[in-house]
Amino acid sequence: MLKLGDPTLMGVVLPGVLVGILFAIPYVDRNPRRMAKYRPFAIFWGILWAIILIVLSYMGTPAYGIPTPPATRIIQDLAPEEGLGILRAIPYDELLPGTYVVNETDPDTLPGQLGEVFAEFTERVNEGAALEDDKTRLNDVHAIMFITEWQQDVKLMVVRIEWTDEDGLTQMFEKDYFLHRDRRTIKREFRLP
Amino acid sequence: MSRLQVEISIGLVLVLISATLLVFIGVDEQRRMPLWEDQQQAAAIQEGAELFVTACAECHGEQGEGGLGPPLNDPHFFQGRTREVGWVGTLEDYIVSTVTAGRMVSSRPEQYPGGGVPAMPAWSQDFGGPLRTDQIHNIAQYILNWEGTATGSVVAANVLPIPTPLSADPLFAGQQAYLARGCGACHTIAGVSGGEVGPPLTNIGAAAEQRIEGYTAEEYIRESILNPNAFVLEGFQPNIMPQNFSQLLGEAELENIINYLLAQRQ
Repeated sequence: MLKLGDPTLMGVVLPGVLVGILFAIPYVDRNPRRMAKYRPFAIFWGILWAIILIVLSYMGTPAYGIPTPPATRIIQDLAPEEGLGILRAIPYDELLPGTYVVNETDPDTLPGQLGEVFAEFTERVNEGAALEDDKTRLNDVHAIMFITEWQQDVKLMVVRIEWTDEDGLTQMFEKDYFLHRDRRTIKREFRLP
Repeated sequence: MSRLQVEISIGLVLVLISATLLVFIGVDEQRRMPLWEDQQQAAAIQEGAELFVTACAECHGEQGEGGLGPPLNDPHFFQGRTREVGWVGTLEDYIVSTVTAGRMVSSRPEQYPGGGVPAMPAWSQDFGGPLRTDQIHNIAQYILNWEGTATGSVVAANVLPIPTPLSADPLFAGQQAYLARGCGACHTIAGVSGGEVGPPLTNIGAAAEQRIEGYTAEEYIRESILNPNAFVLEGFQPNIMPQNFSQLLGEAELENIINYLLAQRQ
């Protein structure tokens, strides 16, 4: 809840009030009946608390209320910190060494899944370049995907986005991925013989 | 059928279904085990590669070609090193041990002096380093993966040069150096830093031309960095700015900072 507003209000006052309400409920609702249909007040509160719990849990996830700069977002979506993502799912042999520049390299010339990932990358970068918000738009964006052999059965992929921010400064976000031939490239391995 | 009999029948069917599924999955387990082992090994090498590039490459080279430290992508390392130092364990143990505890003095000081004393720092958290045990084991797996190319049984990887960022341009490098050297703690450049101890530099490129007669803007800025007390702007104190930038800054870094400051015009 701290990210929702003033820390004193959201971190101390509001949680205190919520706990206080929990304490108060048995004193307010002194209904001695135990069957559900005679306890509308308690049922109402129960459902309300369940909804609050679900909503606050959702608001606590990174998906809510944490603005991520577009360049970070794009690369994070291709290769998330947790889970596989489409970049790490590219088969080793399709990782064709070379430098691929967004809006210069045609994704259709790249093999299979690499082409698909590069097409997605191109699309997302162009979306970022067309954002309406001056603060986050990727001006003069220059984005590349670079692949090289690195070690036996290991290739290095560099994904890099450079852009000019609202103050005219050049910014860069880059991530390096070492990709092994035998790494897991499918979500789950569950096959009957 | 009574209710009890129905319940028993349902339970029986469910147990049979689970048992059959278990057998089906279990039969395939033998095939999956080595696959998962390969995936584990691949994940270890991938993580080891990342760690090696950040922690080890500075002295041992990006491709293990050596530098201050000995080469690791090297036939001698795989074929003779353990015998040379009288190590009785495996090469993997040798790597893990060396990375964990570091090395006080180099065993071949003429060839590979290392970084002084200790020649190689201890990397394990047990000895004050930054790495966990599992990370050190991953680094070892990555180094061991050079064996094929080092001993010539596998064709060496064709490593392409990583393209330099567009932002490697001097002005960008100058800004990075300006921030890295802490200039921004005392000086203000609009949108970059907000220090107020020293004079603002937002317009220094233009202002420097006017400051001292006979000095170009470039000369004025250079002198002010290397010898801060040479010209102290009215309203500011001498002896606050560090006097040792001539020792701290390399020539290229100094040039980048000067060019960056020259470009600050409003």
